[in-house]
Amino acid sequence: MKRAVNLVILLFCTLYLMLALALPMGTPARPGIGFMPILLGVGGVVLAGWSLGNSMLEAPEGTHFSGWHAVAPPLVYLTLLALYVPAMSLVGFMFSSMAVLTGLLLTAGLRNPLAVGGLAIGFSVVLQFVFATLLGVPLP
Amino acid sequence: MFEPLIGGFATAFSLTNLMAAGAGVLLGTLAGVLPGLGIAGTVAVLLPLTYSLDPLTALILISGVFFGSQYGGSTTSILVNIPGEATSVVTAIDGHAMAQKGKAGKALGIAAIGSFVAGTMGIVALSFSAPTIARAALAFGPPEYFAVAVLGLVILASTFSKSPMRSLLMIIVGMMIGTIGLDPVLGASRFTMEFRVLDKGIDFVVMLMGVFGLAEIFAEIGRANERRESSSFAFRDLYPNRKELAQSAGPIVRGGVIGFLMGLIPGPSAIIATFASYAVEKRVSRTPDEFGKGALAGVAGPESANNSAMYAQMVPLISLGIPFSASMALLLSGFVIHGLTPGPLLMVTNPDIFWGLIASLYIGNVMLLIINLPLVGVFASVLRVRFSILLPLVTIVMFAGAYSINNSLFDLAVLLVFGIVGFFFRQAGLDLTALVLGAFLGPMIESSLTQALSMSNGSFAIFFTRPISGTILLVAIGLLVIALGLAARRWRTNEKPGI
Repeated sequence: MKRAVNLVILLFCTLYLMLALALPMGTPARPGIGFMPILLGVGGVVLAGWSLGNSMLEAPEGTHFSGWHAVAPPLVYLTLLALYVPAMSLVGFMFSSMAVLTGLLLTAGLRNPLAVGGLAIGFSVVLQFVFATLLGVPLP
Repeated sequence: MFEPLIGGFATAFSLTNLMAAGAGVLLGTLAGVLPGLGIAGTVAVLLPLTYSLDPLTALILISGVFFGSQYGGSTTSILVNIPGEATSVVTAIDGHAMAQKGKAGKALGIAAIGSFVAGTMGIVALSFSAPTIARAALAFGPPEYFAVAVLGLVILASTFSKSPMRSLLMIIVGMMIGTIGLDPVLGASRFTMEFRVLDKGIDFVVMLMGVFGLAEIFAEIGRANERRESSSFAFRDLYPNRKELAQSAGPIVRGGVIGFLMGLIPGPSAIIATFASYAVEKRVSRTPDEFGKGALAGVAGPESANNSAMYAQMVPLISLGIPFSASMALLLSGFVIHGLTPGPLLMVTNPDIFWGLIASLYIGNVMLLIINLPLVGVFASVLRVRFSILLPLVTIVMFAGAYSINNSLFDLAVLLVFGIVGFFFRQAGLDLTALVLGAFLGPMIESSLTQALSMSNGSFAIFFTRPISGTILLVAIGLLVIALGLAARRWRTNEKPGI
């Protein structure tokens, strides 16, 4: 995990530096919009490279994979939330919240269908009321 | 000082503000009681909901959450041996041992009294120090602000971090994120990939909600069905007797002093203060063997230290406008979304807000004691709510809250991305506070650096020829060199963690 995260950070810093180099750097007396980003990009690439190298030297991590039953809930949870954003723009906040909340409650392990349905509908209606009516937020 | 403070009390003593203080303390205690929610996550969810409030009322509500959560964290530490907040980890050692001996009520009572007394000490110290520093800071220019912000980040990376180099990397990655959008000096667009929605940059509150709130939920969701067993206690047990109060007086005062002094240091100093206080109490105790087996001083000292440290963390925020911890960065967001800029000028331009906020801290501290002590049984029962219900509900509130900040669906995508980033960075043991503070302080560092260089016609000497910035930067460089030297020595001797 540590190595993979460090690699992603190094890639991010490299991409950032490439984009920063395309910006005008200016001079110390009149710094351009690329002045700070270039400094950050160089520092980021050096440190990220060092961090990745250091994590390669560390003892290999044990595989923490403890079966799909442990990994599945966060993955399903994440997928539902990723669908929530486009669903909100399609069917509106209240109905998308009802559907997504049903999925989230089931993923979290709540099994009573009455409780799942009641919470999903009731909570979505309450939130719609609080945000849209009381706080005046123009929910989709 | 007393005249404006009395004026502050007059402002703070409105019904709305008193209700805000009470609600903040209650919500904060709930957040502290529920492991996994965290102060940062709770405040991040709450911030958008304060839009419709008066600025002072909103700040009182948010401050109440901070201080309530410190107390709430101790409740779970003592009753269930699960620290609700990182600052309550030490309390769990002797607090839970006391609960197992049937003294849960006494431990909770001493924790509440210690929090109150040390909290009061912290507020008094804050009331004196913040205006003094703010007056001195009126003379600060861009080089001094640059130096103070750099010193804060260096201390964050070098003092408490397991790996200073990795914390520096997180600060730089955070600063990179902070450069997305319009450049703070020239107003030109950067790193937006032609997406106009990115011109205003990544919303800091949404980023915090993702990194601290959503990431925490991802981490907890796999064990949402676990049940927690709580120790029981009777209401009358909450009040310690005279002998126990006398035994706790020393630890409370020492904890208050240690907490305030350590709280002034940037980073997770409130957590470190609790460990320092525990170590001091064990050293000065006549019965050090009792520690770990239910020593009263082991609860009184650390609980006092964490409350006092929280108030100390407000000193640089209120007086300089610079947050040195993730919690204070959130409080700063509370100022910003209501059109206020904390710092030396706040005392001049908005004295009612400045002194009203300080006065409200006294009120909140009293409320913490009178509301929370009788309600401790209710808070303990909240622990029985299954996380399989709570986490999905909090997630949906978080999404609605994030949307309401800018009425933007794009922010929800940002929330999700930072939730994933926070989850994986945490799994890899990376410092999320450094990431967040880098993102927050980055634009300020950039604009003060650019302005200072323009003032000096491009000469970096300006940072060292001005006495205040020169001294601060030399201290920062010295600290960094020492931290890297120590880390390199650990690395050479193969002691983990490395540089």
